[in-house]
Amino acid sequence: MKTPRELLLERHRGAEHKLAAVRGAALATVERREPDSAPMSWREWLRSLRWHAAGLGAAWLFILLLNLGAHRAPEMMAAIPPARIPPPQIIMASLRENRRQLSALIEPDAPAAEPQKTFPPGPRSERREEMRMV
Amino acid sequence: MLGVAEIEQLPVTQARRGDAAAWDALFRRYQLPLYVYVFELVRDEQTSLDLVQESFINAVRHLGSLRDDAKFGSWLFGIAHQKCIQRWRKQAREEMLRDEFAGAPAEVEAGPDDVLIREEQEAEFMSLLNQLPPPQRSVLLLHFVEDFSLEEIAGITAVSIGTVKSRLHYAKKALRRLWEGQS
Repeated sequence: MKTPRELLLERHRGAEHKLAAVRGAALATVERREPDSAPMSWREWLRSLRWHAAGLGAAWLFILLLNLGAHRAPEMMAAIPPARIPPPQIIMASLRENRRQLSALIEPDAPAAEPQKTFPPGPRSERREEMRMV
Repeated sequence: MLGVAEIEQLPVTQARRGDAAAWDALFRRYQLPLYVYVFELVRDEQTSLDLVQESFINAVRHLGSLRDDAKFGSWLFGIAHQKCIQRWRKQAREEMLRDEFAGAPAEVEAGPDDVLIREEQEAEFMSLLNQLPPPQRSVLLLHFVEDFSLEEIAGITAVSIGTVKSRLHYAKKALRRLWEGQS
Protein backbone atom coordinates (compact mmCIF):
# COMPACT_ATOMS: atom_id res chain seq x y z
CA MET A 1 0.00 0.00 0.00
CA LYS A 2 1.29 3.46 -0.92
CA THR A 3 0.28 7.00 -0.15
CA PRO A 4 -0.50 9.26 -3.14
CA ARG A 5 2.80 11.07 -2.51
CA GLU A 6 4.80 7.86 -2.61
CA LEU A 7 3.01 6.73 -5.74
CA LEU A 8 3.48 10.05 -7.55
CA LEU A 9 7.16 10.37 -6.67
CA GLU A 10 7.85 6.77 -7.57
CA ARG A 11 6.20 7.10 -10.96
CA HIS A 12 8.44 10.01 -11.88
CA ARG A 13 11.68 8.79 -10.34
CA GLY A 14 12.86 7.85 -13.83
CA ALA A 15 13.13 11.54 -14.68
CA GLU A 16 15.76 12.13 -12.00
CA HIS A 17 18.74 11.92 -14.35
CA LYS A 18 17.14 14.58 -16.56
CA LEU A 19 16.40 16.64 -13.46
CA ALA A 20 20.09 16.43 -12.56
CA ALA A 21 20.86 18.21 -15.84
CA VAL A 22 18.19 20.79 -15.04
CA ARG A 23 19.74 21.31 -11.62
CA GLY A 24 23.19 21.73 -13.19
CA ALA A 25 21.89 24.42 -15.54
CA ALA A 26 20.21 26.27 -12.67
CA LEU A 27 23.39 26.03 -10.58
CA ALA A 28 25.34 27.60 -13.43
CA THR A 29 23.07 30.63 -12.99
CA VAL A 30 24.00 30.75 -9.29
CA GLU A 31 27.71 30.63 -10.14
CA ARG A 32 27.31 33.37 -12.73
CA ARG A 33 25.54 35.55 -10.20
CA GLU A 34 28.13 35.05 -7.45
CA PRO A 35 30.49 37.82 -8.59
CA ASP A 36 27.60 40.30 -8.38
CA SER A 37 27.30 39.81 -4.66
CA ALA A 38 31.08 39.69 -4.04
CA PRO A 39 32.81 43.00 -3.22
CA MET A 40 34.18 44.78 -6.29
CA SER A 41 37.96 44.74 -6.75
CA TRP A 42 39.93 47.92 -7.46
CA ARG A 43 40.51 46.89 -11.05
CA GLU A 44 36.81 46.26 -11.61
CA TRP A 45 35.95 49.53 -9.94
CA LEU A 46 38.34 51.44 -12.20
CA ARG A 47 37.04 49.59 -15.23
CA SER A 48 33.49 50.57 -14.32
CA LEU A 49 34.58 54.23 -14.31
CA ARG A 50 36.34 54.16 -17.69
CA TRP A 51 33.62 56.07 -19.56
CA HIS A 52 33.38 58.69 -16.84
CA ALA A 53 37.17 59.12 -16.96
CA ALA A 54 37.12 59.47 -20.75
CA GLY A 55 34.38 62.14 -20.58
CA LEU A 56 36.18 64.10 -17.88
CA GLY A 57 39.46 63.88 -19.86
CA ALA A 58 37.78 65.30 -22.96
CA ALA A 59 36.27 68.15 -20.93
CA TRP A 60 39.66 69.02 -19.42
CA LEU A 61 41.31 68.95 -22.85
CA PHE A 62 38.69 71.42 -24.15
CA ILE A 63 39.27 73.72 -21.17
CA LEU A 64 43.04 73.54 -21.73
CA LEU A 65 42.67 74.48 -25.40
CA LEU A 66 40.47 77.46 -24.48
CA ASN A 67 43.04 78.53 -21.93
CA LEU A 68 45.87 78.39 -24.46
CA GLY A 69 43.81 80.55 -26.85
CA ALA A 70 43.31 83.20 -24.13
CA HIS A 71 47.05 83.35 -23.47
CA ARG A 72 47.73 84.03 -27.11
CA ALA A 73 45.42 87.14 -27.27
CA PRO A 74 48.02 89.73 -26.00
CA GLU A 75 50.52 88.34 -28.48
CA MET A 76 48.00 88.96 -31.25
CA MET A 77 47.53 92.58 -30.06
CA ALA A 78 51.27 93.05 -30.07
CA ALA A 79 51.40 91.79 -33.63
CA ILE A 80 49.35 94.84 -34.86
CA PRO A 81 51.76 97.64 -36.06
CA PRO A 82 51.55 100.78 -33.82
CA ALA A 83 51.16 103.04 -36.85
CA ARG A 84 47.75 101.51 -37.54
CA ILE A 85 46.36 102.38 -34.08
CA PRO A 86 44.72 105.87 -34.23
CA PRO A 87 45.52 108.47 -31.54
CA PRO A 88 43.09 108.77 -28.55
CA GLN A 89 41.66 112.15 -29.72
CA ILE A 90 40.46 110.63 -32.97
CA ILE A 91 38.95 107.66 -31.16
CA MET A 92 37.06 110.02 -28.76
CA ALA A 93 35.79 112.16 -31.66
CA SER A 94 34.64 109.06 -33.47
CA LEU A 95 32.78 107.89 -30.36
CA ARG A 96 31.04 111.27 -29.97
CA GLU A 97 30.00 111.23 -33.60
CA ASN A 98 28.62 107.72 -33.15
CA ARG A 99 26.61 108.83 -30.12
CA ARG A 100 25.18 111.82 -31.99
CA GLN A 101 24.14 109.64 -34.92
CA LEU A 102 22.53 107.17 -32.56
CA SER A 103 20.46 109.83 -30.76
CA ALA A 104 19.42 111.29 -34.14
CA LEU A 105 18.20 107.87 -35.17
CA ILE A 106 16.26 107.30 -31.94
CA GLU A 107 14.63 110.81 -31.84
CA PRO A 108 14.76 112.16 -35.40
CA ASP A 109 12.60 115.34 -34.56
CA ALA A 110 14.47 116.30 -31.45
CA PRO A 111 17.20 118.93 -31.84
CA ALA A 112 20.65 117.63 -31.92
CA ALA A 113 21.90 117.01 -28.45
CA GLU A 114 23.94 119.86 -27.21
CA PRO A 115 27.02 119.13 -25.30
CA GLN A 116 26.40 119.40 -21.58
CA LYS A 117 27.58 122.67 -20.10
CA THR A 118 29.93 122.37 -17.29
CA PHE A 119 30.60 125.10 -14.77
CA PRO A 120 33.90 124.95 -13.05
CA PRO A 121 33.41 125.44 -9.28
CA GLY A 122 34.39 128.85 -7.96
CA PRO A 123 37.03 129.43 -5.35
CA ARG A 124 36.03 128.60 -1.78
CA SER A 125 36.62 132.20 -0.63
CA GLU A 126 33.53 133.38 -2.70
CA ARG A 127 31.25 130.96 -0.90
CA ARG A 128 32.36 132.27 2.44
CA GLU A 129 31.42 135.82 1.37
CA GLU A 130 27.88 134.73 0.38
CA MET A 131 27.40 133.17 3.76
CA ARG A 132 28.50 136.30 5.51
CA MET A 133 25.99 138.42 3.53
CA VAL A 134 23.09 136.15 4.53
CA MET B 1 5.09 10.19 11.38
CA LEU B 2 6.12 13.70 10.41
CA GLY B 3 4.31 15.29 7.50
CA VAL B 4 6.14 16.42 4.39
CA ALA B 5 5.54 20.04 5.15
CA GLU B 6 6.95 19.86 8.67
CA ILE B 7 9.53 22.55 9.31
CA GLU B 8 12.80 21.51 7.71
CA GLN B 9 16.25 22.95 8.13
CA LEU B 10 16.67 24.28 4.62
CA PRO B 11 19.82 26.27 3.80
CA VAL B 12 17.90 29.30 2.53
CA THR B 13 20.04 31.81 4.44
CA GLN B 14 23.19 30.42 2.84
CA ALA B 15 21.49 30.45 -0.56
CA ARG B 16 20.76 34.16 -0.09
CA ARG B 17 24.52 34.69 0.12
CA GLY B 18 24.96 32.93 -3.22
CA ASP B 19 26.29 29.68 -1.76
CA ALA B 20 26.17 27.18 -4.65
CA ALA B 21 26.18 24.17 -2.28
CA ALA B 22 23.11 25.55 -0.51
CA TRP B 23 21.32 26.00 -3.82
CA ASP B 24 22.30 22.49 -4.83
CA ALA B 25 20.74 21.14 -1.61
CA LEU B 26 17.55 23.14 -2.20
CA PHE B 27 17.28 21.99 -5.81
CA ARG B 28 17.85 18.36 -4.80
CA ARG B 29 15.16 18.62 -2.14
CA TYR B 30 12.52 20.06 -4.48
CA GLN B 31 13.38 18.88 -7.98
CA LEU B 32 11.28 15.71 -7.98
CA PRO B 33 8.18 17.01 -6.12
CA LEU B 34 8.22 20.11 -8.31
CA TYR B 35 8.59 18.03 -11.46
CA VAL B 36 5.71 15.76 -10.37
CA TYR B 37 3.50 18.77 -9.76
CA VAL B 38 4.34 20.44 -13.06
CA PHE B 39 4.16 17.21 -15.08
CA GLU B 40 0.76 16.27 -13.71
CA LEU B 41 -0.51 19.69 -14.76
CA VAL B 42 1.03 20.07 -18.20
CA ARG B 43 1.32 16.36 -19.14
CA ASP B 44 4.46 16.80 -21.23
CA GLU B 45 7.92 15.70 -20.14
CA GLN B 46 10.06 18.26 -21.97
CA THR B 47 7.75 21.14 -21.08
CA SER B 48 7.83 20.03 -17.44
CA LEU B 49 11.63 19.91 -17.39
CA ASP B 50 11.77 23.36 -18.98
CA LEU B 51 9.33 24.76 -16.45
CA VAL B 52 11.23 23.25 -13.51
CA GLN B 53 14.45 24.78 -14.82
CA GLU B 54 12.81 28.17 -15.35
CA SER B 55 11.36 28.00 -11.83
CA PHE B 56 14.79 27.25 -10.35
CA ILE B 57 16.41 30.09 -12.28
CA ASN B 58 13.65 32.49 -11.22
CA ALA B 59 14.14 31.38 -7.62
CA VAL B 60 17.87 32.20 -7.87
CA ARG B 61 17.11 35.62 -9.36
CA HIS B 62 14.30 36.60 -7.01
CA LEU B 63 15.17 34.98 -3.69
CA GLY B 64 15.49 38.50 -2.28
CA SER B 65 11.71 38.88 -2.53
CA LEU B 66 11.11 35.90 -0.19
CA ARG B 67 10.42 37.29 3.27
CA ASP B 68 10.13 34.11 5.32
CA ASP B 69 12.80 31.44 4.79
CA ALA B 70 10.47 28.75 6.16
CA LYS B 71 8.14 29.36 3.22
CA PHE B 72 10.74 28.62 0.56
CA GLY B 73 8.90 25.47 -0.60
CA SER B 74 5.52 27.09 -1.14
CA TRP B 75 7.22 30.11 -2.71
CA LEU B 76 9.03 27.85 -5.19
CA PHE B 77 5.84 25.95 -6.02
CA GLY B 78 4.14 29.33 -6.50
CA ILE B 79 6.73 30.25 -9.14
CA ALA B 80 6.18 26.91 -10.90
CA HIS B 81 2.41 27.33 -10.71
CA GLN B 82 2.64 30.74 -12.36
CA LYS B 83 4.84 29.23 -15.07
CA CYS B 84 2.21 26.57 -15.72
CA ILE B 85 -0.50 29.22 -15.98
CA GLN B 86 1.61 31.22 -18.42
CA ARG B 87 2.07 28.07 -20.49
CA TRP B 88 -1.65 27.39 -20.46
CA ARG B 89 -2.35 30.94 -21.51
CA LYS B 90 0.02 30.53 -24.39
CA GLN B 91 -1.92 27.50 -25.45
CA ALA B 92 -5.19 29.46 -25.20
CA ARG B 93 -6.63 27.19 -22.59
CA GLU B 94 -7.57 29.80 -20.03
CA GLU B 95 -11.12 28.59 -19.77
CA MET B 96 -9.85 25.38 -18.16
CA LEU B 97 -8.63 27.36 -15.16
CA ARG B 98 -12.04 28.74 -14.28
CA ASP B 99 -13.83 27.45 -11.28
CA GLU B 100 -16.39 24.87 -12.11
CA PHE B 101 -17.82 24.83 -8.67
CA ALA B 102 -19.46 27.52 -6.62
CA GLY B 103 -21.05 27.52 -3.19
CA ALA B 104 -19.90 27.48 0.39
CA PRO B 105 -16.45 26.02 0.99
CA ALA B 106 -16.49 22.69 2.72
CA GLU B 107 -14.03 21.55 5.34
CA VAL B 108 -11.29 19.20 4.21
CA GLU B 109 -12.03 15.99 5.96
CA ALA B 110 -9.00 13.83 5.21
CA GLY B 111 -5.20 14.23 5.12
CA PRO B 112 -3.02 13.28 2.12
CA ASP B 113 -1.98 10.00 3.68
CA ASP B 114 -5.54 8.92 4.39
CA VAL B 115 -5.79 7.65 0.85
CA LEU B 116 -3.87 4.42 0.45
CA ILE B 117 -3.47 2.83 -2.92
CA ARG B 118 -2.89 -0.84 -3.61
CA GLU B 119 -0.40 -1.78 -6.30
CA GLU B 120 -3.07 -2.97 -8.73
CA GLN B 121 -4.93 0.33 -8.32
CA GLU B 122 -1.99 2.62 -9.05
CA ALA B 123 -2.67 3.04 -12.76
CA GLU B 124 -6.34 3.67 -12.09
CA PHE B 125 -5.49 6.32 -9.51
CA MET B 126 -3.25 8.15 -11.93
CA SER B 127 -5.86 7.96 -14.64
CA LEU B 128 -8.53 9.32 -12.31
CA LEU B 129 -6.24 12.11 -11.19
CA ASN B 130 -5.77 13.15 -14.79
CA GLN B 131 -9.52 13.27 -15.35
CA LEU B 132 -9.91 16.04 -12.79
CA PRO B 133 -10.10 19.62 -14.06
CA PRO B 134 -6.73 21.42 -13.71
CA PRO B 135 -7.70 23.73 -10.81
CA GLN B 136 -8.79 20.75 -8.70
CA ARG B 137 -5.86 18.63 -9.85
CA SER B 138 -3.50 21.44 -8.88
CA VAL B 139 -4.73 21.76 -5.28
CA LEU B 140 -4.92 17.99 -4.87
CA LEU B 141 -1.33 17.56 -6.08
CA LEU B 142 -0.06 20.28 -3.75
CA HIS B 143 -1.93 18.58 -0.92
CA PHE B 144 -0.66 15.11 -1.79
CA VAL B 145 2.91 15.83 -2.88
CA GLU B 146 4.06 18.38 -0.30
CA ASP B 147 1.19 18.38 2.22
CA PHE B 148 1.00 22.15 1.97
CA SER B 149 -1.47 23.91 4.29
CA LEU B 150 -4.61 25.52 2.85
CA GLU B 151 -3.00 28.91 3.37
CA GLU B 152 0.11 27.86 1.48
CA ILE B 153 -1.92 26.36 -1.38
CA ALA B 154 -3.91 29.59 -1.54
CA GLY B 155 -0.62 31.50 -1.79
CA ILE B 156 0.75 29.20 -4.48
CA THR B 157 -2.36 29.19 -6.66
CA ALA B 158 -3.18 32.87 -5.95
CA VAL B 159 -6.78 32.21 -4.85
CA SER B 160 -8.59 32.61 -1.53
CA ILE B 161 -8.47 29.97 1.19
CA GLY B 162 -12.20 29.44 0.68
CA THR B 163 -11.63 28.60 -2.98
CA VAL B 164 -8.85 26.18 -2.02
CA LYS B 165 -11.13 24.45 0.48
CA SER B 166 -13.87 24.21 -2.11
CA ARG B 167 -11.56 22.86 -4.81
CA LEU B 168 -9.96 20.34 -2.49
CA HIS B 169 -13.30 19.15 -1.21
CA TYR B 170 -14.76 18.67 -4.66
CA ALA B 171 -11.53 17.14 -6.00
CA LYS B 172 -11.55 14.50 -3.29
CA LYS B 173 -15.25 13.92 -3.78
CA ALA B 174 -14.83 13.57 -7.54
CA LEU B 175 -11.86 11.25 -7.09
CA ARG B 176 -13.81 9.10 -4.69
CA ARG B 177 -16.82 9.00 -7.01
CA LEU B 178 -14.65 7.99 -9.96
CA TRP B 179 -12.85 5.46 -7.78
CA GLU B 180 -16.09 3.89 -6.62
CA GLY B 181 -17.49 3.97 -10.16
CA GLN B 182 -14.52 2.03 -11.49
CA SER B 183 -14.36 -0.45 -8.68
